[in-house]
This record gives sequence, structure tokens and C-alpha cells, in this order.
Amino acid sequence: MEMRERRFPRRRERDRDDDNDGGRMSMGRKRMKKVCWFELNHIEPDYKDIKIISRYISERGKIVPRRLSGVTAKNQRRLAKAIKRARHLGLVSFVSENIK
Amino acid sequence: MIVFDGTQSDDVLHKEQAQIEEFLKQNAVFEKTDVWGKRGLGYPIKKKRLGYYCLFLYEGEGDVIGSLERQMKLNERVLRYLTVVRNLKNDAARAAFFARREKAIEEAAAAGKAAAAHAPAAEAAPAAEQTK
Repeated sequence: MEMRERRFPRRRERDRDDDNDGGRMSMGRKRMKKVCWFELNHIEPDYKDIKIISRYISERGKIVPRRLSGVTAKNQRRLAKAIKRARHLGLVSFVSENIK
Repeated sequence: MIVFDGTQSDDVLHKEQAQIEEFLKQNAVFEKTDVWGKRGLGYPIKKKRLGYYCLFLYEGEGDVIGSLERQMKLNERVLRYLTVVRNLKNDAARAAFFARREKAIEEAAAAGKAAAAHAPAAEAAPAAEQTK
């Protein structure tokens, strides 16, 4: 299977400190903080918005942790509930098709 | 939301939908039905791969939900059902967000069309030079 670029990079890829400057960018600025998409658009996660919640489901069908996606704690709780509701209704799968 | 067996004919599905609507009209304050129609299921349910999705919006007492869900449990054409309390504030915010996004997409498409209308004329000139 062809490797696809990850939407949310793995921690070791994300935090790799090639220039050994303690996680700072070469320009001396701190790494940009991730912003919660739901906060940005002033909406809450909903089980009916399949396209939106699918962004927060990994290739294996797992819920993406908030340390990778940048979602706020409150919205992560709502998102988890929305994904579980969508799974129950068969809107999204529990496990991805090619892993079954 | 109710997911009916999508392999059934349209007539049967419409009948089932109407039956639910009738029940809600009699026992609750029925608002409307949002029909999503037939769509593939994320995973097979009762060996079916197609579902007919209907979202019923209504306002009623708790006992209405109990009797409705009892009906759903007994109905073999119903694959899944889910009753949730509506978040009216979020529904309004979502509607506004999607309207905004649709408008932005339309504007982008119109801008793209306008750019494309100018582009052939610009591209045609160098092509003509090359042929010379």
C-alpha cells in the first residue's frame, strides 16, 4: 500500500529536533500553536457532519488524540461522542475497510 | 434518526417513513423530516450494505420516545435508530457555517470562471507566436 502523508504527524516526526535547538524554530520563534477547528468556526462537533468528523478519525478508524489534532478538551469530548453516535448509525465504520 | 433497510423498494420505505410521521403527529409536536435517502453503510448491518436515512424532528414527552423505540425494535426493516436531545444553538450555528461555506465556494467558482474566461485569450497569443 502506498504510504500517504499523515494529516496529523506522529509525535516523533513532529517533535524531531534536527537542529537541536530545544524545539525552537531556526528563526528563534516558538513552534506555532495548533488551533481547534471547532473553536475557530464557532460550531460544536455533531454526528450528522460526517465529512467534518471523518477528519478526526485515523486510517485505522480510531479517534485522533487531541495532542495531534489540537482540538480543545471540551470539543474532544463532544467529538468522541459524535463519532460514537455516527459509528452506531453506520455513518462511519469502526475499523477501516483494508484492515478487516 | 432512523436507518431503514436500504435494499427495500422506495414504496415500502416511504410507507415506513409516513407511518413514523403519522405516529409523531398524533403523539408529539412533529416539526419535519429530513430525508437523507439511501447511502452506503460504514459496515454491514444485518448483512445489508445500504441504509435509508431519515431524521425526524419533533418535540414530545419521554413516553413518546419509549413507545417509538419499542416500535423500532419490533420493526425488522429498521437497522438502527437513535434519539437525541436537540442542541438548537449549535444547529443554528452549523446552519450559518454551512451557508457561509457554500457562499464562499460559489464565489470561488464564479471567480474561477471569470479567470478562465480571460485565460484563453492570454494563452492564445503566445501559441500564435510559436506557430509563426
